[in-house]
Order: sequence, then structure tokens, then C-alpha cells
Amino acid sequence: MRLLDWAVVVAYLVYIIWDGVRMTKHSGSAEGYFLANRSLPWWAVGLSVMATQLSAITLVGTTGQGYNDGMRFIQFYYGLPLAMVILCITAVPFFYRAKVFTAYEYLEKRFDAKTRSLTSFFFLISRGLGVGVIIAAPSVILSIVLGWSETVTVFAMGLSTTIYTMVGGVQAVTWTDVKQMIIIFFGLFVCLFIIISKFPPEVSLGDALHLAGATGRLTTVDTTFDLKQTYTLWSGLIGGLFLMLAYFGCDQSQVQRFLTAKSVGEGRTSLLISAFVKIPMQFLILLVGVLVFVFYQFQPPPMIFNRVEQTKVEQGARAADYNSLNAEYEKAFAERQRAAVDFVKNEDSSDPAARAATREAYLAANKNFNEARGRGVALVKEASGNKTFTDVNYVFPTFVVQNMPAGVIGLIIAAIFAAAMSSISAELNALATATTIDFYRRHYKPEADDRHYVKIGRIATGLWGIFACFVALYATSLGSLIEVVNRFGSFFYGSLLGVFVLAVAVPRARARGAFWGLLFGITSVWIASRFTDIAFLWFNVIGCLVVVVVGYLLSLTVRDPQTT
Amino acid sequence: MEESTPETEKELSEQDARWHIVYVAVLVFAVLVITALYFFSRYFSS
Repeated sequence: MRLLDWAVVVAYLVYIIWDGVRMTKHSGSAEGYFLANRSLPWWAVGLSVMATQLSAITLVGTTGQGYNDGMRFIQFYYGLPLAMVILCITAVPFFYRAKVFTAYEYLEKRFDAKTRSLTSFFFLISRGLGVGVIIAAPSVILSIVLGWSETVTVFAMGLSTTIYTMVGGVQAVTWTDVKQMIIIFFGLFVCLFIIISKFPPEVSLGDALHLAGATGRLTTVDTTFDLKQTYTLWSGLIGGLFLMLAYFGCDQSQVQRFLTAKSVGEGRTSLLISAFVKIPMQFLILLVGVLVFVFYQFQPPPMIFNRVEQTKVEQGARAADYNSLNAEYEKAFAERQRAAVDFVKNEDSSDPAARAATREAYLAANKNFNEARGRGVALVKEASGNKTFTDVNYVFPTFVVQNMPAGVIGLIIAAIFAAAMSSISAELNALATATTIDFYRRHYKPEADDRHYVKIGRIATGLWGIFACFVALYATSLGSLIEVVNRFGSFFYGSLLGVFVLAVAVPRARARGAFWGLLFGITSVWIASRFTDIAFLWFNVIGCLVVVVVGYLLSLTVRDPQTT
Repeated sequence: MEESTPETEKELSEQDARWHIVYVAVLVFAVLVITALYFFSRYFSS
């Protein structure tokens, strides 16, 4: 990073922290601190909804996914528009008019305190772990860019966000989210234009897309019905629908967004922005990853994108093996580069046989190249003893640092920070709200004044921030972070959704059914994850259905009339 | 509790109808986007 890049990043950080901290003057009461006095306009809430969901994992992990695997991941979002419509009809008016602080507060009115506490507890576990993963992603970037240890970068990222969230509450979270979304969009577009400008002169965007398409990286609709396949049209439309309903409708970090809106109508509009924008935005982010793949057809990529691990092996006991594999890798790259150039030259050929031949030659060269890289990755796994080693999260940051001009590196790093901090702040605020309202106020000190609960909210924010930092230190070794965070979520979300479905749509449901149904749901998901190869998106469906069916059946055993 | 006046009920009903139109527009847009992505993928993968 050059001086200009540092200036951009530092200016961003200083501005955002200042902007968040100055919100403290609006956050004196509990309603102000946790719900912004229900006064926020739809466009601010809508941008905050998107910013909360778009973490640095999306920018780092999804671009890495695009590079490695292509666009199949976009199917994950196909259920989102329908989910938003369903929530606009059900959850938004429901929670808004219930005048609750948390989604789980409503469950006590419907069922009992035990069910509310259990549901809120599972939210705290899943989000507490999830926010740790969200902190890990940008820390990975900083560890490459600055050469710092991941421990230092995790605490620097996590604690700076914790500070303005603690001080400013949900107002700080929302208004900083608005600025952060602007920076993210701007950074993405600039990144895209610069990648395209760096292709060789004879390679157009169309050529680049044909090249990517030849390797299967442009698949956006896979109609295969296979429960073991992670990303298909069906897992996205069905599994993804359940996940989005659970996440946007039952997760406090999102429910709290629309509870801050001025009215039910503005709350609905804020969700519908995501329904329109989310899929095109994900396409844009995946396209960046795919175009980075194309870029590296013509410029040599490192065999190992994680520079720290690469250096360890290069200078360690297996240096000779590494050098030998690297030589093979460079040779495989040269062959693939030639094949890619031939492919592009023949794309417009009128001879289908010539086109097919160059395509086959390119695919064969690409396969050899991938095998050479695979041997390099296997060597790093052996040398480091880390069997789960993967460098997919380092692809995009490495590309940015090595190939973007001065100033743009800083802008993209700032965008990644923005994505991380917007999500971290919302999650910490939601965790603090649930902790304060669902546990502290409900069970420990129900009669304190507003200022006391605001103070507890601030303390809870700080403690969750520190916990999340420790989770982050573990999360960096878990593989593609976008998959990790969604796997965590899918473990709990379907079951949490099931409880709300019982509450809203099953009048015969009783507290006993909801409570034990939830436990059965989580257990069923654990069994599915442990003993089957079912893709994780389907866990949302399994969890929800088990909770609803078991919850309903158990409710039939309750003879006492419902007292609500 | 105030009784709803016909004007208020009519306004509510018109409001609901407007929201339904918005929901349909959202779903139609989503189908168009997914369809466009399908054809994009087919064109560049062939």
C-alpha cells in the first residue's frame, strides 16, 4: 500500500468512527438506543438492511468463490424476493404493531417466557459465532496487506467497530451503514472497470466471458434436483427461501432494522429494496471474481495466494519440493496462457471444428494448471499440518494489492472495511438488544429506568465485541468464509423460523410444543449434518418442518386452554 | 374504539391493493432477472 492508499483508508476509518460516535446524543433512552425512536426513513433502513447482510465475507469470500467455482452461488439468493414479499405481508406489520424491542419478546406473549428465552438464546449463539466469522474476513486482508498478525488485525477491526456501536446504538449503526453502502457500491464499480481495462488489448469483455463460460464459471441456473448439491435452482428457491425468511424475519439483527422505520409502510419499502437489488448486486460481486479468474489467464497468479503460508514453505524444510512444484506450475500456466490466447483468437472463427479444438485444448490446459496448483496446495497442507488449508479468501485481496493503481487499493480496502463494519455493528447492536431486553430486563432487573438499560446495552455490546474477536481468531482456518457463515446460520435458522411459523400460523400451537419442537428441530439438523451428505441450505427446510410438525403434535397433548 | 368509516375502509383497501401491485411487480422483476441470468449463462457457456 502506498501513502495515498493509507490516506484513503485512514480517512474512511476516522470519518466512520466519528460519524457513529456523534450519534450518542440521540441515544439517551432505551427506545432511542435500541430502536432509534422508530423514526428512520425507508431509504436509510433499506440501505442498512443491505449493509447488514453484505459483510466483508461477501466481498472477500464471494469473489474467491467466483474465482474458484464461478457464479453458481448466486442461486442462493433466488428465494430472497419471495421471502421479502412474504415478510412484508406478515412479519413487518406484525412486529411493528406489537411494539416489541426484539422478535423474541413476541414469543412470550404467544407462548411463554421459556420459549422466548430458548429462542433468544439460540439467536445469541448463532449470531455470536457468526459475527466472529464476519470479523475474521477483513482481518485476513489486513494480515496480507500490512503484514500484521491476524490476532492484531482481528482486535483492531472488532474493537473499533465495537466502540462506535457501544456509544451510538442503532442510530450509529444505521447512518454509518448508509455511508458504507455508498462506498461499497462505488468501490465495486471502480474495481470492475479497472479489471476489464487490464485485460490484454485483444481480449474484450465478451471474450473474457466466453473464456469463463467455457470452464463452467458462468452457470447461474442449475436445474439439477440433488439434495447433496449445494447450489442449484431448487436449493436456492426452496432452501434459500426458508433461510431468507428465517434470517430477515426472525433474526434480531434484521428485525431490528425495520422496527426502527417510521411506519409499517416504510418498513415494508425498506425490505423491498433488497428484493430488487440483491440478486443484481450479488451478480456484480461474483462477476468481479470471475473476471479476476480471466485476468489470471493472461498474468501469472501465485501458486499459493496466502503469502504468509507460501513464504513458510518456500523457506522451510520442503523448499526443494516447493520450487520443483512451482516450476511445473509456471510451465502449466504458460501452456494455459497460450491456449487461452488461441481460444480468444478462434472465438470468432467461422470454422466450428477449429473453435471446438481450441476450446478442448484450453480446457485440457486449464485442467493441468488446476492439478499443478492442487499439488502446491497439498504441499502446503503437509508442510503446515493444516489439513483444511485453503487460500480462496486471499484471491481477491492479493489481486487488489498486486494489480490495482494507487488510491484504488485504498478505496477497495475501505470498501471491505465498510462491508465488515456495517455488518459487525448491526450484529453487535442486535446481540446487545436481545441480551438486555430478553434476559437482563426480563429475568434480572425488570423495574430499572431507561438509562440503566441503555448502560447495560452498552456493556453488553462491549462484551459481545470481545467474544466475537476470539471467535474470529478460530474462524480464519475454516475454509471459504461465505460458506462457513451460512453453514452456521443454516444450523439454527430453519428451527427458529419454525417457532415463528407455529406462533403466527398454527393457532393450536402451545408453549410446550414450541419449546420442545425447537429442541427437536435443532437436533434433527445436527443429525442431518452429521450422518447425511445433504447440502446445508436444505437444513433450513428440515429444521423448520420438524419444529412445526413436532410442535403441533406436542401441542395436541396440552389440554389446558391457551392463556394469552 | 373508533368505528372505521367507509372512507377509511376504502382508503385501507386502496392501500392494500397498491401494496399487492408492488408485490407482484417485485416477483415479476425477480423472474425476469433470473431468466436473464439463465440466458446470459447459456450464451457465454456455449
